[in-house]
Amino acid sequence: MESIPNDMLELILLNVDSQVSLLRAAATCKRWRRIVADEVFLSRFGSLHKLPVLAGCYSYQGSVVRSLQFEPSPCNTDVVSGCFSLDFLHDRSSMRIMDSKGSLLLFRVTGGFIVCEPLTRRHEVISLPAFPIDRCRNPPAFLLGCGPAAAGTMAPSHNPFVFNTGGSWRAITINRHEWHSFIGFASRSLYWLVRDGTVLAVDHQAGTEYAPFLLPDPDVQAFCPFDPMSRFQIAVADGGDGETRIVLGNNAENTAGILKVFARLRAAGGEWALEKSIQLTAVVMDLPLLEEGGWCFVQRGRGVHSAGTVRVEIYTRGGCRKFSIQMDKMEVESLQPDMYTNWTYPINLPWPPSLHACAYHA
Amino acid sequence: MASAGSGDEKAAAAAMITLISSDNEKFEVTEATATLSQTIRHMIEDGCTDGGVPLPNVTSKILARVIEYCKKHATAAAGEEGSSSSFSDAAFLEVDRAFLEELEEFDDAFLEVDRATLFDLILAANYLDIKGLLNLTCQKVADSVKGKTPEQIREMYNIVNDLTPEEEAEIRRETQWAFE
Repeated sequence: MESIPNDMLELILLNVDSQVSLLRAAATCKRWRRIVADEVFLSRFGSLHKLPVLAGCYSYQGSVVRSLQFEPSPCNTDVVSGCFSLDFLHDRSSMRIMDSKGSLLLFRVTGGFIVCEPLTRRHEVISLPAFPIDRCRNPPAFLLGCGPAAAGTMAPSHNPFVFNTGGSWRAITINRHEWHSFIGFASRSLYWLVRDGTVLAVDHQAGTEYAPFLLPDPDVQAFCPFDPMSRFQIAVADGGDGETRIVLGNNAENTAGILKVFARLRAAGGEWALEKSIQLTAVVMDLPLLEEGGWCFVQRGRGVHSAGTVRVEIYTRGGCRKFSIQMDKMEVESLQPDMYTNWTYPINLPWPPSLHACAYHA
Repeated sequence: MASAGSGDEKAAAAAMITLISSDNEKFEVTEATATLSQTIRHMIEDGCTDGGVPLPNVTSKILARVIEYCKKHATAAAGEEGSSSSFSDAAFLEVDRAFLEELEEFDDAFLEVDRATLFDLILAANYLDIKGLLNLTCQKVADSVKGKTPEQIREMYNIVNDLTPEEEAEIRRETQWAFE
């Protein structure tokens, strides 16, 4: 094997069947490890093998005693389910899962949150920020990003705070506007709606605020100056094509069930415009008519594999109905009609893997 | 043979090239076979193949195997080009599939060699720039790693473990899940 030059060894390692085999190969000797730990190599391996791979989904089972179960995905044939156990976390009974993204899970615990990576058994406890959070006792929390260093961040509304793992909370300040409501996030940006129908967006990593724009919907504009959140449901989503979409639902009885999707025009200026409308009742045959206040968008459980989808919950007398809308094809998928089952939280095998130990970078 | 009409396609296809191994053995091959190697193709294009092509990095034993591979795959390439007009689509697909199956069987049998020969084939494929053969041989080594522990890989390829026990423990801790 010594006679094989590095570039050919690299070609061999690129063609190894899975990331598990690759990680094992990277533990044979220093030369192999150095090749595998190289960033360029890892990115080539990742695109060749279509990584990351969906490892499986966590979900709550049972309606009375709730326990978090892991269901492996068919794509994951290499890692045994036992590796996804959460038994390294203490006091699991008081934890409530909030979100998943990449290889990370986010839990709410008393007094704060826990971000963890089940496979590597790493976790970080995050206390609530010291500064006052608004009246809302359980502010929504999301994982905004995930990297090899497990950089989980979150933004409770209405006063948003972002937390970087290994760091601390920092408040995101929005200029000029006294009243605003958090409507979601996509890629690197957080979005808010102002009472006059203006949308604000802030890059949560760079902290830069984009130029505010008016949501181009006559109904929203006609409804002002009342609180648009009392009449409209708004979600921000990855469009599945790398672009961000804003989805608007009108709760007024005559228009309930129509979702409008807005996208930024590609032309210079990048104005937002109506891209398409979708009539939910026309797509889902047995869907009860949406009633005012009887439905909402759900912005959690957003793993990599749910990018490009928007989730909707509809409350009826029979319980809660859940749907997932594929943004690119506008296909509506009905999810688990059982009112007791919950959203599933998809999780990936960590990719790229952390190869810090003995990676003697050239 | 050497007609004045240079660039005559048919004459070029029938032209023979002499390859000379490191131990001075001569191999006569058709240009179609030889040009599977990009290295030799460039030499032919530059017109420096008179008197044979010396290949000082390749032994006669390995060169014989490489030529065997190139002959088979050159025929396959010629077959694909020539047959499209003489068969109906369905018949063509049938012939095509049979051909591919045969080629796959050939490749599998071709790879039934010891490790030292496999490595020599990789080196020769790289030196001669024969993409198909390089991918085939590298894939064979890559497949052999599947499902193996680091110890088994070391044993299989006589790799010296230059990691200290502490380093090994650290590596395992970092990605423990890949070792279970």
